[in-house]
Amino acid sequence: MTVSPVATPPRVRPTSVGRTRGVRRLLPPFLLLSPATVFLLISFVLAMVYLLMISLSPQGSYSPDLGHATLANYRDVLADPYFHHVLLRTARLAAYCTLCTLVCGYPVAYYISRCSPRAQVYLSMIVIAPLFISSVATTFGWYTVLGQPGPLNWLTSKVSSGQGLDLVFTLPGVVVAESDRLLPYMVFALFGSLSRQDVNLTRAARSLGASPLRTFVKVTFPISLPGVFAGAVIVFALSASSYAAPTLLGGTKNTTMAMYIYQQGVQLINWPRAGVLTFIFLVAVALAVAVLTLVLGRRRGGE
Amino acid sequence: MFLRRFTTRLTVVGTVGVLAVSLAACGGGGANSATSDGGGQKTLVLLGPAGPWADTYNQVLPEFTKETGIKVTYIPGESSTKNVARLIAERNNPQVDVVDTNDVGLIQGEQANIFATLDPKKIPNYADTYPQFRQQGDKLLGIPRYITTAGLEYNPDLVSKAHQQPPTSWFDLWNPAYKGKVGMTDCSNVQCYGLVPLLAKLQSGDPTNLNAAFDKLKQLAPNLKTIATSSTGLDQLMTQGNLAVSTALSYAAYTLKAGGVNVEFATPKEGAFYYTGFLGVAEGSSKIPEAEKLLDYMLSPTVQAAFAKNNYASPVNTKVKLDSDVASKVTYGQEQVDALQKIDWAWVEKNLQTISDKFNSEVAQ
Repeated sequence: MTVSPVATPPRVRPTSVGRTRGVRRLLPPFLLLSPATVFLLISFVLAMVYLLMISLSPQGSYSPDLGHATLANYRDVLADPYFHHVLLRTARLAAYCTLCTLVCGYPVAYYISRCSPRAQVYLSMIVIAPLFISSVATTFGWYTVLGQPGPLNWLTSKVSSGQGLDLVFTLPGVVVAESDRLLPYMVFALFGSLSRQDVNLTRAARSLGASPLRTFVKVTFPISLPGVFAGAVIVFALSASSYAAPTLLGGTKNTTMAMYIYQQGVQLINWPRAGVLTFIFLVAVALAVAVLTLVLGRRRGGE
Repeated sequence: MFLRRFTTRLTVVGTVGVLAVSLAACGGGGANSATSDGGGQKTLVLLGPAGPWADTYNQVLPEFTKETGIKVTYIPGESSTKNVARLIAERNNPQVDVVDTNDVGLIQGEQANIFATLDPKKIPNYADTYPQFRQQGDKLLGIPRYITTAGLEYNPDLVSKAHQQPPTSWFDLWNPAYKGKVGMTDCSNVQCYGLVPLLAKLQSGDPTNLNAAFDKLKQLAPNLKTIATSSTGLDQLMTQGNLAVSTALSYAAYTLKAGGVNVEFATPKEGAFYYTGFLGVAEGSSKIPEAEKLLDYMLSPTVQAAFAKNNYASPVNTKVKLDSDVASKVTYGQEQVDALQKIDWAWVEKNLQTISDKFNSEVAQ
């Protein structure tokens, strides 16, 4: 709180590698030299305050009306079973995406971390490549792959002799598209953690007679947990708030929170309700991330 | 001490930043409501639809500039309600002069006081419009630009594969032969919230009987392939041949067909309902007289005919003359206009939240 840009730099120079130290040394230049970041922070905070005020205003308001502030909007939304369904579905979607990217991303990150530095550069480029394309474009790509007629449908109809799979407008379809988009985030979080691992640890485990599987379960994976945690938090938060894939591939039967907020705020112009949903959702995601931190943090401590 | 000074500074920076971004985001290529360019010419900013409609706008607007000397910057927006939502958001500092919306958007905008009152005398072509398409109420806040009907679109191949005749009734959507092959949008879209009072009337004789409408809509669930968030979602499925029958706006169905998609439009025997596209002028715009000239131009028979030909938008001007081919795809002439099912949009707007909530929890769940 009492960060002073003038006083700090001389104090923090020495050799120790404390984490708070690093943040403290980085903070002043970060704030002063990066107007864009400052502006984003403020515009985000201002926008959220404005939204909070709107969410407390009576139904039918188009601007904050704190003279008639009410909690009725919050009460109505929290008591609405439809809202519970949407919130749970969003949590399920985010959990599936997290699991999916973890399972698919771990081997990739592990492999890259064991490659030569030069190979790592090329492989990293390949991993990032999907981020170069708009998520709307990749979602439409998945639309043709997962839909009917499409390669997946054709393959599964050959195998099962029935109708074949059609994942368009289903939750699994959204999970596939969303996981595809978020995989790079998971891979890089894992890669960061795996590449810092001392290879001698696994060698030691092997030379003491541990099987490769046992080495992985007992040594490699536990040490990589900070990366797993970072990746899980990023992917969870991003997939919970995703909009393009659920809209294009999910439809209204698979409404997620972002879609619900959009429907209320933009299509129905019910700003108080949209504000309420945004805030409850923000709190819910924060809680979920806090729980993730506790669970994974404790396990990390136990090892 | 430092913190407080710092916060103040940040607030200033932040506010300036937010303004800059909203200007950049809303200005649409540097267009600003308050500016007129060097020659003393005024530039109107028009927020309209995107896609093929925008093409027609861009085709007819140069002629307007030639006639009047008034330039128009066209911003392709999204849906009618989204355009209104944007006008409401900008109402303290309108960046748009003229906005394209529909019945419900006009009422929503009226409640938010975002529309300027227009003078019908300055819009001579207004006198030639069908009275039933005009805005209700004593203040003129918007002029009708087109109407489009909502009915059914179908894929002839899939219909005959299911051993059925082409649909002729709204209730064909419930035909068990189309299990998993029916599409509709959710009730934040006009094709759904317009259908609700019509269905209520057909089921119970009372268009305000929401329970009657939703009891029937609930039974549609097994037939639904999907509930799309917008009509574009339905277009997609129709194009891929995933839908046998779907609710549709006539202009959208004919646009798809013109694009080579295997689709036909059917007017249900119980009657198609329709909505009206309106043009309104932003309250606080400094160019209301110029905007009124533009509205008058948009009502002129040639412009009305161009939108009918390119976009299958049914003209609202009684004096428009259309070729028989175009006329067959739009609502044309007094007789056809009189046969339309009228929806009480003021009632719909008042109950829109309830209708949408009911649809979400009872049909889309």
